[in-house]
Amino acid sequence: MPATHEVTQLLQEWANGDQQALHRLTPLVYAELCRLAAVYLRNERRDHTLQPSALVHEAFLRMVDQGNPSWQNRSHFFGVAAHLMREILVDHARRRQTAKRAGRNVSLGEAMSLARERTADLSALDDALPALEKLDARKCKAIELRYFGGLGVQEIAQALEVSPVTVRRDLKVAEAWLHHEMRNG
Amino acid sequence: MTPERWTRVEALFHRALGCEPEQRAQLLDGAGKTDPELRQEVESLLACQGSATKVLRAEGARLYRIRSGEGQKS
Repeated sequence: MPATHEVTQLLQEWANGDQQALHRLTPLVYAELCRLAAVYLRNERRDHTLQPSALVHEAFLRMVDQGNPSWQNRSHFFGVAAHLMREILVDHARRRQTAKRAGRNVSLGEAMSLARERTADLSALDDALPALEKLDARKCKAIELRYFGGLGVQEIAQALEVSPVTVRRDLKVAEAWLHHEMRNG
Repeated sequence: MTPERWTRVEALFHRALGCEPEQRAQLLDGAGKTDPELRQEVESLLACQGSATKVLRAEGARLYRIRSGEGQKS
């Protein structure tokens, strides 16, 4: 794995408008982004049409499109990359569902089952997540990677650049906090 | 909650989790003498801790499916 400082340095140069920095950065982060992409895709259905490299490329394009990103450090960069990959997969899944539904009506039964999906717990979780992000952004990121990204403790530790012990502790207290918010929020 | 407060809540939460029940009660009693609110906050987190993973796993997966359009039967 490339030196953290080197990546952070290049990210900052890129943020300051140095396009050369982006060219030097790409090979340093590419392998790790591919690994992250592969993890995300493993959690998707087997017949997923996206390849890890395509997912990385699309995430990279979106990051470049953001214009002048103010990367704080390497972990910030990988956090954003992970978030974007999830967004891309969500977009992809939506398009697939839309294509499937095209040309037919949603039955009453289907509509009912959809309505049931939106339980009180679910709405409460949707509300509690931004509150956690405000309280403790790193823990919120760990929760997102764990429950939405499906990453394991080791992988989260690498993505957030903390020890696995810290990830376990973060998850434990954040889970309890979220559950408490969901009950009482 | 201020970051300082959150740090204190977290620290006591983890210490209490690492204790046997009897020690835990002593630890919380001690903390409650100087800061009853802190004790209450940590106790409510501890009460949610056991069931939190299960709830989040179920609801997190459901939220992910809905956000991604997978909640609809195909």
